[in-house]
Formats: sequence, C-alpha cells, structure tokens
Amino acid sequence: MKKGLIALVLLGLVVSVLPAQVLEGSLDRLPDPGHMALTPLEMPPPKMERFQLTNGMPCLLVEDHTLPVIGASVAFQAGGLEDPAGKAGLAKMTAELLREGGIKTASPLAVNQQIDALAAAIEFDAGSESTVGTFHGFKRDAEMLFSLFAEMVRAPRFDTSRFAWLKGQMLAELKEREDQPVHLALRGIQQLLYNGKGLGQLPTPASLHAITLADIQSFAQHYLVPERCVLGVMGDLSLLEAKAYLEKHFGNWPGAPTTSLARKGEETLAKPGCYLKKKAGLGQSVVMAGMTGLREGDPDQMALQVAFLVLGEGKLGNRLFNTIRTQQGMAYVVASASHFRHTVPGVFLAYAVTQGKNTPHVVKSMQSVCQTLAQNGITQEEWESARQAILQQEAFHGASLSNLLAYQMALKLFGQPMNTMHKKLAQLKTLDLKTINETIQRRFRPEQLRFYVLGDAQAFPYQQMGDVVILEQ
Amino acid sequence: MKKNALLCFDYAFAKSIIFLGNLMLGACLAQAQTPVPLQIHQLANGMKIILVEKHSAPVFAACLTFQTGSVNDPLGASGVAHFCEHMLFKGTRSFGLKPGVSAQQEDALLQQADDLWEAILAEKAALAQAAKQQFYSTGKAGAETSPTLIQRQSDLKAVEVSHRGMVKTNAIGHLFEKAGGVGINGGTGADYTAYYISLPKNRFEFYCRMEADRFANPVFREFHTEREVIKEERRMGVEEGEGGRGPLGILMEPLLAAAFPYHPYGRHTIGEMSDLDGLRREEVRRFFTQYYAPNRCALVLVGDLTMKECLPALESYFGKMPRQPDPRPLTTLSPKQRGEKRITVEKAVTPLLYVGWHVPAMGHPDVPALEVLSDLLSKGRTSRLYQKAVEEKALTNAFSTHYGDPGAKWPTLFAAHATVKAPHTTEELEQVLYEALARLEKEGPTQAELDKVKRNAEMDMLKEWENWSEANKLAYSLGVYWALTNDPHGFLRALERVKDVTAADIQRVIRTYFTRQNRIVGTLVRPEAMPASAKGSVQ
Repeated sequence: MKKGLIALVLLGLVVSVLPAQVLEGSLDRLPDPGHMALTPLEMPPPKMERFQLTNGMPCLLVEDHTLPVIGASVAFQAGGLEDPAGKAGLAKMTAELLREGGIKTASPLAVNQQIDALAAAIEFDAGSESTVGTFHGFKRDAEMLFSLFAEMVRAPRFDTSRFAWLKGQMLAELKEREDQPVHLALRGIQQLLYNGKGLGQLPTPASLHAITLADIQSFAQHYLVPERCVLGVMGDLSLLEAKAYLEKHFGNWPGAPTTSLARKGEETLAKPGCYLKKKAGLGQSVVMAGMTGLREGDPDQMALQVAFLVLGEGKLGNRLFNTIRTQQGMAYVVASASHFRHTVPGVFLAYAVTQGKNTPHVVKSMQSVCQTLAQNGITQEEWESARQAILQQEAFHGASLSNLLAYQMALKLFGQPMNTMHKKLAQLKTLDLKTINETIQRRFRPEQLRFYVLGDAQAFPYQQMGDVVILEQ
Repeated sequence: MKKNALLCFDYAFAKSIIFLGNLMLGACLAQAQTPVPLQIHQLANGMKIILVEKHSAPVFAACLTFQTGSVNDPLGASGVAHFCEHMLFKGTRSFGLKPGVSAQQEDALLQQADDLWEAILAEKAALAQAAKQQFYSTGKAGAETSPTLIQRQSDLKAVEVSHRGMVKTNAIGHLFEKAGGVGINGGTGADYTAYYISLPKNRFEFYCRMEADRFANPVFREFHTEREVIKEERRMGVEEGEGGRGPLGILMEPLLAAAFPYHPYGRHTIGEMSDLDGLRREEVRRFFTQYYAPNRCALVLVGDLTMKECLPALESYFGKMPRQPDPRPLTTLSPKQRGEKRITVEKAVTPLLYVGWHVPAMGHPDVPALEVLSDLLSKGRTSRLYQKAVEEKALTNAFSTHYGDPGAKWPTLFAAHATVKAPHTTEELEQVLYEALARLEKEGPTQAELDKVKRNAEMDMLKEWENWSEANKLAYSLGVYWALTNDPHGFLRALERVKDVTAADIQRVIRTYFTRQNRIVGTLVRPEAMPASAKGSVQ
C-alpha cells in the first residue's frame, strides 16, 4: 500500500510536469514544433481601479505590492498638434520646461537634487496628441514625490534662464539629428504626407527660435488643465492610499474654461509617387513608403493590423523582411510600422536602409511586395499565424504595469471604451480571411503610396525608380 | 559593459535593444535591501539554469547566454562570432525546409555552393597574383575579374536560387511568433553571445524544444545572402554611424584598434569588410562547434515558472546536448601603453570626443570603485559632468561614462564620450572632463554623493525586476554577468564588493588609472574643421 502510494504520487508528478512528448537518447528526433501539446493559458484580466477626485479628475490605479516602489502619471489631451503655425515644438518645449524649469518653491537645481537624492525619476514629454508626465520612486518617499510632482504640474516656475538653456539643448538635438539619415527621412516623409501641416508640422531651428516664454506659459495655462487630464497611479499603493495622495495634491486643482481642440482631419496630400531628396556623401540610402488614414477604433482596424503584421511588422518573418533582407540581402534594416491615432489620421510606413547602388532595386522590391499584398491579399497560413500571434501575445497585456496604465490612460483620455482591448480581440476572433482580403483591397492602395528616398543621387541611377520628383535641397 | 558594445540581429532600428547601461552597479547595490531570489540548477552536461520567479502574468522571458564572443574570432576571420549568431536564426534539420525536401537534397546544394565559393576565392587570389606579376613585367595593371570568375559567381547565384526554393524563409521567427513570442533577438558582444525571447508560460516546452534543436542541429543555410545583410549592418553602424552607437560607431573601430594592439578587443565585433568578403561557411561552422557547448552556456529564465515544473523539459531537451571540451583559453594581452594616444577620424557629422583609460578586467578589486566613479561623473542631472558640461557650460547635451568598453572579461577601457554643441570644441569637453576628475581625485566625492549613487543603483535594479518590459533585461543582465564572472550569482554578489566603496577608493582609482600616459583620445571632426596644414596632400 505504501509502495503503491509512492508510485501514485510519482505518477502524478510525471503526468503533471513532464513534457508531453518525452525524448529518448539524442536530439535527433524532436516533436513537430507546430503541433506540440499546449495546456490552456489562464489570462485573468488585469485588475484596475477607477475613481474620480472631488474636482472631477478621472484616476486609474494598478496595484502591485511585490516591490516597495510606486509610480504616477498625468496625461493631458494636448500636444504638438496644438503648436501654432510657425512655432512647431511649443508643446514639447513646454513639457520639457515643466521638468527643467523648477517650481514656485524651488529652483531647478534644488528640484534635481531632491529627485536624485530620492533615487526617483520625473519626466515630461509631449507627443502629437498628448502631453504626459510620469514619476517613479520608492514608496517610502510617496508624500514627497506626489507633492513635488503635483507642484511641477500645477505650479511650474518656468525659469527664464532655464528656458534659454533648454532652447539651446533642443536646437543642438535638432542639429545632431541631421547626422542621422533615418531621422531625416522620417521627417521628410511626414512633411510630405501631411503637406507640412498637422502631424507634418515639425520643429525647425526657426520655429524653435520663434517660441517665447510667454508662449509656453500660455500653452500650459490653456491646455495643461484638469479638464483635459487623466491621472494614473501604479505600484505599492492601496486604493485608499492612492485616493488620499491624489485628492490631497490634485483634488483642489481648480478647473479652467476649455474649448474643444481644433484638430484637423485629413490633410491635402502630396500626389502619390516617388520623391527623392539628394544628400551627397551618404553611403546608404533610406527608402520609405507611406500612407495616411489610420484611426484608432476604425472598423477595419483589426483586418489592417493583420495585413500589416504579414507585410512588415512581424518580428523575423514578414514579407518585406523575407524578400528584401533574407532573400535579396539588400538591407539589414527593413520593416514596416503603423500608427492608428485617436484624434487624427495616423500613418503606415514601410522602410529600408540600403547601400546606394541598391536603392532603385529596393524601391522596386518594396513596391512589388506591396502590390502583391494588394492584389492577392494574405494566405490562409499567414492569417492563421497572425491570428495566433495576436491572441497568444495577449498574455503579455497585463505583464507591464506601466504599459498597462499608459494604455488605459490613453483610452480614457481619448474617450475610447475601457474594454477596447477585449473588443479588439473579440473582433479578431470573428474575422475571416475573406474579410481581411476584401479590406486590404479596399484600404491598402499601393498606387497611393508616397515613396521618399534620401540618398546620394550620384551613387545610383534614380531614373530607374520611375517618375521621380526631386525635392529641393 | 555598455549596451553599445553589442551587435544585434535586431533589424528594427526603431526598436533597437536598450540594455545594460550601468547595469552592473545597479544590479549589485540592490541586494542588501531587496535581494533578487535566484534559483540555480546545473544539468549533467554543465549547462547552468538561473531562474527568477515572477508570477504577475502568465509569461516568461528566456535568455540563453554563451561564453563566447568576438574575442574568439580567429585572425583572418573577424566577425565570425557575429556571423555565427546570424546563422543560428536560419533553422535546423527539423524546421526551415519546405515539405517534401530532404536534408540530403539540401546538403547537396549547400555543398555545391561551398565548392563554388572555394573556386571563387581561388580565382580571386589567382587574379590578384597575376595582376602583380603583370604589373612588374609589363607596367600595366592586371585584370580584377575574369570569365571564370564571372561564371563561378553566376553559378553560385543559380545554386542559391535553387536552394531558396527549398527553404521556408525565417521559419524560426514564424514559429516563435505564432506561439506568442515577443522580442526574439540575439546579440553578440566581445565577451558573450545571447539569444532571447519572451513567451506565454504554456510555451515553455515548446521553447526548450526549439532552442535545444537550434543549438544542437543548426543548418547554416542562406550563408552568402546573409553575408550581404551583415555587410549592410556594418555599413550602417561602422561606416555611416547609424547603428546603436550613432556617429560614435564611426570612431570606435580605429580607436579600439589603436587601444588594443594584439588583444582581440582591438577588432570590431562586426568584422572587417575584407574578412567578411572572404569568410567560408565552414569557418562559421567550426567556430560554432568549438565555442557553443552546454558547459559554456547559461539559460536565464524570469517569469511565471518554477524550477520544479521546468526541470523535466530542461533535462529532456537541453540535457541531451553533449558536453564539449573547453577551447584553448585566450591569454593574449596588449602591451602596456606608455604614452597618450590620439586618434582623429574625419566625417561630416557633429564633432564628438571619446576618451578611454586602460583599466583592469572584472574581478580586479578596483572595478567596483570604477563603476561608482562612472555614476558620480555622469548618472543623473546632478552628476558632476552633467552639472558642469551640460548645464553650466552648455558644451554638450549629454556626457556619458562607463566602465568596460568594449568588454569586461579582459583588461578594458573606462570610457567617457560626448558630442559637441556648436560653437564649442572637443578641446573644451576634454578640459571639463579632466578638471572633473582632478577635482574628484583631490577632494573625493561627498558622502551625500556616494549615498545618492547607491540609492539610485538600488532603484535601477528594482526597475529591472518590477516591470515586464524590463524582465527581459533582467534575464539578459543575469546572463551577461554569468558570462563575465562564471558565477551564476555574479550579478548579485558583486554588491558586496561595491557597497563598501569609499571616497578614498574613488581618489585612489583616479590616481592609478586616469593619467595622461594611460589614456587614448579619439575625436570625430568635420573635414572642413581640420587645420589647413592637415588638408591636401603632403605639406
């Protein structure tokens, strides 16, 4: 009996933990990796608390008591899209000056000393659609951190000398970017796609020089206000603690009258085709192809995301990568990226970096891969792989507290349903190959792509790329 | 170790890996208050398993680290370690071929390609030899190509096209991605090579099956096309300055060559173009056989796993990889430098300065103080160089320092570098750097500065552990530290050596290593900025 019990326990152990297909001897005979047994995965939805402060500010909390650290974020629905004409970079400079410009009760140096002494981090940045501030630090310093963070948001000093210093920093950064052809090309195609307006209005030395301290103060007063804001907290804080800290430091922040943002919709686009920007001395060209029109919440979004995954966003195995890199050996960097935006149409971009003489070939290959996708759609095998990949990767959704919080805060900020991820996955499960390929035909139009090539025109016969518009130097 | 010393298989410039910055110090200091609970196991074949349980989500990160890197590149075959890493993404005997294609059919074509490549190399060598003879006998330059060479090259292309028809392109990426894998990549450094990915936890056996197969039965297919990819990678990082180190990448190849005569740290991990052009598939295969072995490998796992549930699959797959004899250890060192070296590279980009001082390898008692020194100088907005060079004098947007460039397993460099903000000069940057060191050497850091550095280092560690986006980084850090120290606990134990660093230690290491004779100074300058005497031909 005793022996039998041990055997039973051992048997139980074997059944529960041994791999489904035990190997013998060597590694010559292995199970088919595509058909290995799989235990179902429990993916409990991430726990998140939502509440409101007395002044109406919406708040989110992701609790995690594993480590004695905390973080908080503040997000405003205002960003680079609110930059006035001729002052591109204002939102970004405002965000940076929130961090660098001190607070009413302390100089910039004193603020930095306090942050570094606490081993904390506080940063602010502005994207096109939003401005975000975050802090991270030890729980034991929570009161000091919330206090400092709130003061930076609510009572920035915008120190004059720091403003001048920051402008110098941003100008130098812009200058250094000129050394990086990929960044130059990215700027170029953005300007091309949006005709230099909206998302295509990018900071230049002239626009940075034009920004005054009064512009920054005005931007902050007008846009960085509680009515446009969502707060988030994460880490080693209970709901009670989070509410108490946020209420104390943000709950009495008085509201200000706001107007709705006058964001532009579709811009008038440069006509489709191939554009060349010559830059002498470049050993490699940057090839980019882009289109606009991607909106978060678009009914076609999941079908397009599947198509883009197959085309260029799958890691180590998408059509652009397989063709231009693996089969042709023409590029080390080749992929695509898509950005579905909340309030304005975002972009799809395909890109590659290749030695000068290969440039026309890479342009043609990229065109060909895009045309094949548009004409033939994706295959059943590709659809099945993409579907599996997206569903399986859902396991990572709650793995990063900061990513989870940022994602949910963005949904709240832009008025999207908080169960958007769940809805997208449900949408994915109802998709089929026919629908995806119909969507590709309807929405992905290679003849509408704008190709932007940055390279040394002496190194390749650019006439081989077809009708090329030479962009002015 | 610095992230940028690493060459990556990563193809997405927008997502280039960000690893290892100041990780050593950060990791170490954390232990006193918040130890990372490591579980260690060794398989019978010598392979180490390092596990950190983290049950916040049903996923795990895995990093397979091998104790080999570009220091093991043989003479004449620079870049072979990195090339080998690329080849290990090409599939195995059991995946990578289309249905109906046999291994024998593939082997025959691969052999044909190898033979043709050998013939091409022989023809090129013969042409070069004939050209020399022709010049000396006739005074005319010889031919660079020949009908035979053209024919062989054409034949090789034809064989490659036939072979491509057999191959399931990028099967490994396809299989991992379909299984929910994220962040698959590999990286080759001077001292180590790592392969990493994150997966849902129910794919653990799948992971073991895939990776054990990859490192037991790889097929080095698509070799010649991949050579072109690697050459593009080299152009991007070393020639154009668009890689992970930006324009600094342009300066590093000549600078390291000057800093490390004899020692392989003097050769760039990606390899010289002429070596890449001549590399044979067999040489990569030989490198793999010699240096990839379970007894030179650690698998680091961070995630929703337990050692108990992992061991059966680990034994069943990785346990079957045979132990290999240790290769001949590297014993070559560079001779002691006896005077300042200066390197200038001309390129039309923002000028930059790099200063490196020769310092000892990890394991030397002075290394912890060097790591603390780096943080005192450049970590955070209140660090000494940030305060002086970035804020007060506005000479640059960032001044970086770190211990261990390009590696840390052998005597290496303590590096300081920054780009110059117009209208300032690299000379001004140099001056600020030397003054900061002189002042630290004279006065020592304050206790508040030392405390700040240690607290921030603890926080860095917690950040790695706290968030999933950092979990891969934690796995990577643990693996790298093991590769450098040969101690699975190396990542954490170094704390005991670092936390006791005193102001006097900082002063002592500055006195010992930061001398003029012991440094190499590199500058990247615009050609038009060179003095007139340096332009043109002979002056």
